[in-house]
Amino acid sequence: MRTTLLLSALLALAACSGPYFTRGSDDPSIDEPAMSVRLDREDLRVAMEQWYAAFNDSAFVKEIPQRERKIAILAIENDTSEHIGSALRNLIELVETHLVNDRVFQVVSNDTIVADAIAQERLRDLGDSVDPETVALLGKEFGIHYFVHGRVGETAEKTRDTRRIQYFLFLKVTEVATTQRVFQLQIPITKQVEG
Amino acid sequence: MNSGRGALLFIALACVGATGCASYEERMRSARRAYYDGDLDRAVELLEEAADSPGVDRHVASLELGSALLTAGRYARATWEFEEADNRLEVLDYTSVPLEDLASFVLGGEMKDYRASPPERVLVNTLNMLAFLGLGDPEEAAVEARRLRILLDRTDVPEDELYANDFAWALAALTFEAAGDREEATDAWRVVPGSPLADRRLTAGALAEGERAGTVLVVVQRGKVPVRREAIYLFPVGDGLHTLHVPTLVPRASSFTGAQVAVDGAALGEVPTLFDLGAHTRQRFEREFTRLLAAAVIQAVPRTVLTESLREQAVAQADDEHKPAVEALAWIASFLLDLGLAQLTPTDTRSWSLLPEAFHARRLNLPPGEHRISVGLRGARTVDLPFDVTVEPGRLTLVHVATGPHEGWRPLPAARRRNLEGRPEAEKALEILEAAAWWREHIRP
Repeated sequence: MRTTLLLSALLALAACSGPYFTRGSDDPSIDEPAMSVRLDREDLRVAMEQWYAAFNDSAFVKEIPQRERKIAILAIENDTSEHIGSALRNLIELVETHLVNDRVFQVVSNDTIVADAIAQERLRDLGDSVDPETVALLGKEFGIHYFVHGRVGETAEKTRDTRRIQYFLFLKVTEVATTQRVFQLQIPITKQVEG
Repeated sequence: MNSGRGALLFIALACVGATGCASYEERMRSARRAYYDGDLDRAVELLEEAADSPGVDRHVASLELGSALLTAGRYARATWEFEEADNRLEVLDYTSVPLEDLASFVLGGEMKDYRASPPERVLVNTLNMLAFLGLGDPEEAAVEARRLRILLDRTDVPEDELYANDFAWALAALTFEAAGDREEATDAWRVVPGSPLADRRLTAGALAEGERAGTVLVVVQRGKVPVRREAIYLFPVGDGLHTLHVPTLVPRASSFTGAQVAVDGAALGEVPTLFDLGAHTRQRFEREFTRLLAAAVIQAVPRTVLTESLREQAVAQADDEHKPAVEALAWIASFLLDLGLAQLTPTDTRSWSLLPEAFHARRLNLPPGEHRISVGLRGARTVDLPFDVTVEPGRLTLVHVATGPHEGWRPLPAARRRNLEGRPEAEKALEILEAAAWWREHIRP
């Protein structure tokens, strides 16, 4: 009897140790806490909602001619000291998904543009503004009327046991024909780690 | 009889204390041996075990693992390891930390998590830049370059040291260039304007009209950085003999003195040294040594007072007949106990030991297309390593070589004690120990 009890206790202990796995659909709260100072899905969702609301309300979207609605998301440059490249690629996909589902614009996917070697080389050297040759290429090769590009900057500060990063996400929409910026939004995101 | 029993108990205590723990060198020997004998898979496996274990070596083992992964060309895994190290690694600067902390961390340090030296900390981002460039991801490498710049801006590193690592700055500048961050590249080049990596002239071949050159960056990590070992100094205090345990640097011989490069069979000469890490480490240690000695004294004071006290008590309790024998036994026992107590808080000899003696680098600006880059390691032995690379216009391709797996494993040389005679810091250390013994004897018997 004593042996059985001891074995049961040991089995219970063994069952209590080791890694635990949880499905987000079973426990949605696991998506909520910030796990690092990088950008997570919640940050992207909030950023996306802000951008989408402002974009839809803008005079640019309301007044856009019916025939000139071909748009592409080019790149969001990471100018921070955090490895958020994959989060920014996801953000591009999110923006594309919203635009496709809205049916207001015809979306030329980022993958199509990146697959073009010349465009890829030009986009790699893309700075804060897009040079006239790249703009011409986008119009000529892909028939794009507008493109979205952006960058993320940061202000990073650190005290003895706290590190805070204030991200500034800038998203800009440029008209290919005129190279004029027709819409621009800045979205702030702050992350902090203590201890 | 009582005095004889006391002396025996004293000796037993001393013998128990004298059985010390394995040093970092002993704990890492198998992994280092596998690495330097060229068995990188085995080295990675052993270092993964050490980095995943909850012991005090996990943080430094993670750095060693990052180095081994980078050498093995397992860049993605290396970036993960270096990022983890970057996030959790704390820094301890022997040249500025308070003496009490230095005594606690360095001379009882193997009881605690590893703290990197500032030059090691800088190299986490430097090697991670290389790993991301190896992956062909200059944007992520640029993130490491920014982290490096922020680190150097924030840390209280003296200016001569801040700019000592030309390789890190030049690599950062080249990385920013490759990522298309022109302003940041310009800022970084300003720190190292004369760097050989700044040369944008075509190295070999010719460009067709309108064609853009690509860049091949050849990086050679040559030799083995000096590592720490414990040196024991003997000091006579009162009638007894006592010990000071201080980390010291030991050099490690390399089979190679330099590297040469050839492109498509045409010899281009040396891959120049951009950062002599070994010399930098030795200079830094010279600056640290006085403080290390002072910290060792702080740690030795209670040990000296205790063992002297026990020795004197044993002698005082001995009857006249046995006194000479007890005195001799107590002298031996107090010395052994001193050694044993020191082993209970072993000197921290951990360091990132898979780092090289020197970083060599050369920039090759080549026409787009297939090229064979040959890196020749020269010295007591000669090793030729060919790399077939595809150069793309405006892109950077990394050719990375570490001589480590071609060096062959050799046991670490013994720690050589420095001659402390006549050195003011050593005389001061002796005075402090003597004063402590005198204080115990006369003021608070």
